[in-house]
Amino acid sequence: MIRYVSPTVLISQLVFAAGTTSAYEIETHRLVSEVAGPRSQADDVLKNHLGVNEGFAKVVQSFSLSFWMSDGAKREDNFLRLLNHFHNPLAVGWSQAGLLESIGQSSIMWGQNTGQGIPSWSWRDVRQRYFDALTKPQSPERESSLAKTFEGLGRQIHLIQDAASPAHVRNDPHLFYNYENLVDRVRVDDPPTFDGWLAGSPDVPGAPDPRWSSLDPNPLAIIAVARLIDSDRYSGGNPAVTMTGLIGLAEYTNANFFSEDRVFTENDVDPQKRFPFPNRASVVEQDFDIQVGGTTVKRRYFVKAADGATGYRLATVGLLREYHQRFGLDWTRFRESPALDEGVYRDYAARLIPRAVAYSSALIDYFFRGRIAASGEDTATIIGNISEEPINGTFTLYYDDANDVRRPVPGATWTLALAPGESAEQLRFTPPTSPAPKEAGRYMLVFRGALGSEPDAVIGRQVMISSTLIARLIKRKDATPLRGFDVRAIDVQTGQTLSAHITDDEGRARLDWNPGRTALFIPSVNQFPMYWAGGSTFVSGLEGAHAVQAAEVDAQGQVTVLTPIVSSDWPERIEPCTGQPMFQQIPNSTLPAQSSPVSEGVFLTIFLTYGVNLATFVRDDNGRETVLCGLTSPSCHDPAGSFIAEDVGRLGQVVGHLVRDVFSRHTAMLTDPDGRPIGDALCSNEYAEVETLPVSVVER
Amino acid sequence: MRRWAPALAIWCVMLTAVGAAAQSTELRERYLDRPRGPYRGKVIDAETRAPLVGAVVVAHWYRDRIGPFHSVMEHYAVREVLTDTDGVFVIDAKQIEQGAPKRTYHPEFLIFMPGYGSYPRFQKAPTGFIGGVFEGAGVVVELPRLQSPEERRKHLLRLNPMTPDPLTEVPELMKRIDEERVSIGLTPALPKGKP
Repeated sequence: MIRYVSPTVLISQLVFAAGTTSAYEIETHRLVSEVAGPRSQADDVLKNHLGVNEGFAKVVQSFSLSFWMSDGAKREDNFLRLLNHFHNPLAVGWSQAGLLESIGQSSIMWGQNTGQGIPSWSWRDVRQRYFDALTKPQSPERESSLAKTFEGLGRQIHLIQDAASPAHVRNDPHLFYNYENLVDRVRVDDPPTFDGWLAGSPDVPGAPDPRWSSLDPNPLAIIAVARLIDSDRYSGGNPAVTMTGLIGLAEYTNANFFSEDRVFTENDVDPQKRFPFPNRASVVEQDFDIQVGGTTVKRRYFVKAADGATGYRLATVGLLREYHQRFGLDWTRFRESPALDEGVYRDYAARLIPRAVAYSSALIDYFFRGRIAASGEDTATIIGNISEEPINGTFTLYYDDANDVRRPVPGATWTLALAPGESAEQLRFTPPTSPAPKEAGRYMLVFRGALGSEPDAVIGRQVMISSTLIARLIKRKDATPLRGFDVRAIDVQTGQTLSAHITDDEGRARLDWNPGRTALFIPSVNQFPMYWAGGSTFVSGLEGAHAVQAAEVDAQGQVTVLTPIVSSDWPERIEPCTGQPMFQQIPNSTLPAQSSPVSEGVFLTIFLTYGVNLATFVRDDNGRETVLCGLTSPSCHDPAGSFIAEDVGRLGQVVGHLVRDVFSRHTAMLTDPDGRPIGDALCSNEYAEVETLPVSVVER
Repeated sequence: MRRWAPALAIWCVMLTAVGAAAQSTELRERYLDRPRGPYRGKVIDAETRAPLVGAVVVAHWYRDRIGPFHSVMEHYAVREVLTDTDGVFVIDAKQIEQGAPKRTYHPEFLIFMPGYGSYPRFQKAPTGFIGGVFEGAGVVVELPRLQSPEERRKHLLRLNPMTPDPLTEVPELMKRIDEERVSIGLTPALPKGKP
């Protein structure tokens, strides 16, 4: 319903309401904000959650974030915005709680009004700026948005601070000399006293009861920070409730303090001026020594003694009070004019300024209350909600490329609903490669969605999520897993080993890697080291190695490498009498006799002796010689040990020659079952030769 | 229009009354009643008593601007000077204060030297009520040396250049804030080449 306001009334109200309407002076707001900011969790969030190492001291556009916040608190009073900085907690509804009901909007609704103008600094607008600070592509855009986030928070806490100014919660345009002027004068001329107010004292409760954010939202301003100003628990008849921590700052201030033009107005005929507390039953009279012109004199005050907060000067006793009492004047027709002097306002400030600081900190803490975490690896990412409230919304990973351009990671967006302490596991994404990240594995995880009762919250968290792939080695010839082999991930640009692992029973090795920059090194499946070159090809040097791409990783996070296992082969001649190889690569060995039956009770028994004086493998491509064994060697090396990875692609081809100086003795005879010779030996031949044999590559 | 005429008349009368009332309230103590400068002082190390040479002293004047529907406290003028070899400064505010509009406040002062706690919140002296201490003969300001980088970092967060355009109006202050930042390992605040 639109209320009718006559032009005369409206203009009169404007003049009185706004003629010199002001709030805490802007420098007072600045100092309250300067203290409230560092007391909040914001510095910790900046440093430990967002990777802003300098925290509040971080400079953006030549000024620290601390400056931007306090500057926002100053600027909120610019032009006519201050007309929206009032909230009467006893108004019929919040839509009538602004200055004189119709001059301005309730500060609570103003703080959540996305239509403030251009620019708008409502809670949601500040949230958007925070989101921009986390996600905008260009670094200057992000920094600018971060500065604006803190400016916006400064503007938001300005509204909180105004709720600790009596005139702002008692519908009082407060012309001229007032509480705020006095506070500012003390700020300038008596900094120790002012700093004492900022610091608070043990007998002045600081932070609001943490349950404030759990109170049911008011549909007119659903963001819970509204409850820092008005909890809707003070009804005008229960001032004691304002002494609990679970109370809005406007309610506390309204019920316990006067403003310049709202003194003992419990019976005022004008409902806009009528406030039930404090009232004349809330006070006792008491004399205080005060200084006037350097002289100590006594002044009588009304001291708050009941109905909520107690123990401070609420107002001076009017000069005509004594006459009033002596002659029994009708006080409804006789104004005794209690006043709010400097002593009164100092007592007010000692109680209100600490609350302005504490409630401001609470708002900042609420803004940064969301806590998320991520860990694991790209193939099995874990995202957790470590807030105290449930979250339901979208998580997106961003990364910075080498030019500091922030980009969303393709495919790394998940919509999740997580209870406090709950996490989602086995999330997968493909690490970005084009353009490559500035730092592999470093991401900004950004949440946007419902956080508790807040519908469009934003949370940021810098996280490290290692990129892993599973290198699976399969024997090419029969597809059996190659178990127990060393596999390493090598950075193709630096040659640095990123990780190494032994294949499991399935031939799998989990490796940290950097997509597009990582080669696989397989040092021991064959007798020579190999870098994978893609497919079933391999190379011996890193320069020819294949940089594994993210697209090559399958749905299980695996890259399968079909790995040929190779050995050497060369022709051996057969000795005609024994039917055994004429020579073998066995240094100086007499083999055990071999017997096979030829008829009943008769066996053919063969005696073999082999020897190598010197065996050498010579590669054809480069002439490199490798001694395989000599006369006293315990064994001979396989020429395959001199193969190189490229030889894997030369199956069946001759890659070198075996040059050897060998000898052998071959003896065959018939023997009985006890091994005794039957007759003369069938043959007894000795051989000695220097021969050259072609060595080819074969796959096992 | 005829309907609004009485309201406008009332409005004009009230505005006149508002202005008259402002002249007679205690608030005037906050405003300059006449030029009060020049402002003088001497800045020394609170421990060694040695003069601090090159400390920056900023004087800043606010004014209340009264509009048709509101009043705002806003920046009026600012001056910065450096202390000389004796640690002495003089701010000649004659031009500013003689030309100051009504409802111009007494100036506020900031004194800063890298490595030291600044005035008006961290000095050893003067303490207590400090309104007007730089008028007339001035006063000796004793700045304490800050001990730890963390103490200096916290102190930096409380330093505020006050003016809307610090880079232009208080370049020496901004330069010293930058020196302080760098000396405790923070990144410089100013773009290269500035101020």
